[in-house]
Amino acid sequence: MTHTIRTSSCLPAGLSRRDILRAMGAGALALSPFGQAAQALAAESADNNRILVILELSGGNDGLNTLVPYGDDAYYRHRPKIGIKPEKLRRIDDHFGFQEGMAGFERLYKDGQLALVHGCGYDRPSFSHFVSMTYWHTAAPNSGEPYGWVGRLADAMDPNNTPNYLVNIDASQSLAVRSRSHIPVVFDDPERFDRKGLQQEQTLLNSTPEPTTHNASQRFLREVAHGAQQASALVRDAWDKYRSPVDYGLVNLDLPKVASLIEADMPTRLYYTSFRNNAFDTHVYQNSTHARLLTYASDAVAAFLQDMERIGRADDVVLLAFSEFGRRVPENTNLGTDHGTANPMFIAGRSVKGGHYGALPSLTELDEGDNLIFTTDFRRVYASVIENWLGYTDSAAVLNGTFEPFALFS
Amino acid sequence: MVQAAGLATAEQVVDYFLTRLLQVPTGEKLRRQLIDTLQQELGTASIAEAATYMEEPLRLLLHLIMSTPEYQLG
Repeated sequence: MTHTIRTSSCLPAGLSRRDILRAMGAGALALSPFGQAAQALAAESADNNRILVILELSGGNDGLNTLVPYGDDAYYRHRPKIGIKPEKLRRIDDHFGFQEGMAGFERLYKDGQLALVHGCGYDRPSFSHFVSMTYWHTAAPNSGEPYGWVGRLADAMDPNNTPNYLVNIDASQSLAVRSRSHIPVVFDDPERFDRKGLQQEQTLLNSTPEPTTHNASQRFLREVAHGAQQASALVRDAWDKYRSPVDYGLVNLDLPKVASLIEADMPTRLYYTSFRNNAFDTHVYQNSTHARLLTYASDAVAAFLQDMERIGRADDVVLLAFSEFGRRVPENTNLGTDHGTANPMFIAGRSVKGGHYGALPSLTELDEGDNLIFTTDFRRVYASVIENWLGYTDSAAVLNGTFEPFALFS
Repeated sequence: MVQAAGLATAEQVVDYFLTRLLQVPTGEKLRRQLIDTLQQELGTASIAEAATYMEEPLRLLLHLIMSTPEYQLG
């Protein structure tokens, strides 16, 4: 059960409950017994330097044509025209193969650095991109949760609100990083991540706001402005210094920007980036488009992990890739696929115990809409990275429910 | 607006717009910077002397005020 915090009319003028909670900060938390327990849990996760990078494959990736169950005849019966023949796959075992262009994922899997979690979804699925992505962002299907799971995780792991703890690289902020206490650093192009204005305005625009004021809302806004100034300087500096020989392929998915910040030792533990613009929404003539998208994603992820090796942080970084839903099992008449349900999730990194996790969804027992019936609640994967990777042992508090983690890490 | 309000100096103009546009008082440091910037752009502290060309400097002043964190509370 979640509770939406609403502004109450009994609060001082100009102040919302959120403002007051922010103003209370960690000091008030530390005084309560609950706060002490939360601080202890946070301290556990603070003991390591582990980083989680989340990659969103927007548009609804067709998981069945990504990790192809070529060993199941039902796959070819459902997809007589767009089903990918075994000889065109990068076969990883006697049942599954990756798309031909996914050399990066194949290598990661064969090196034991890629976990494949099957059948990820949720009850009463939505077929709307917007709605389903909201559920994945909040980890709270059909609930109206106002904050993102990554934002809630940052609040839980870091009650002291360390600046630059949470980074989102995109054209606009994702709901996933929306937080009660943390202010995510959100940027797109590092070289343009500063305040624009006329030359004669620059001194004033870039001056540090005076921090002292008795007005809590004003103080909060000044802190936000000051934090943004400092973050933009750090990001631009990190990007200026970043030089990597690693080839990220044709579409780098902003992962070199993540690498630059990790190399610059930003205190960030949580990064969020995406394959943007609903790219994976493959309703029409999907095979060549989808193959290209997967090649880009696979190349970029493999390159990113190679870059982590280069800078000596491969043991500290794990990447989680997901999409808001899979595609309908049977192909459509346009040689594409329509919005579906369950999908595999991918977790990659040197510390990952590669292999298959979760039960395979049946290709013969579908729901009434010809969709896969999910076998793994996607929040089990979130719980896995929260507890077993980041070391925050109370994933139930973050996810508003108990989800059994997988042992994905060595 | 500036002339109709009878504002005679850059300082009075800055105070006038800060009062009109912000719900909370800004700090003295920022106020001083705005006055200095406006005077620099006008080339004088006197509004009467700059009456024929003050539109662009006033636009710049408004942009700066509206770029302050405090303007979000307006």
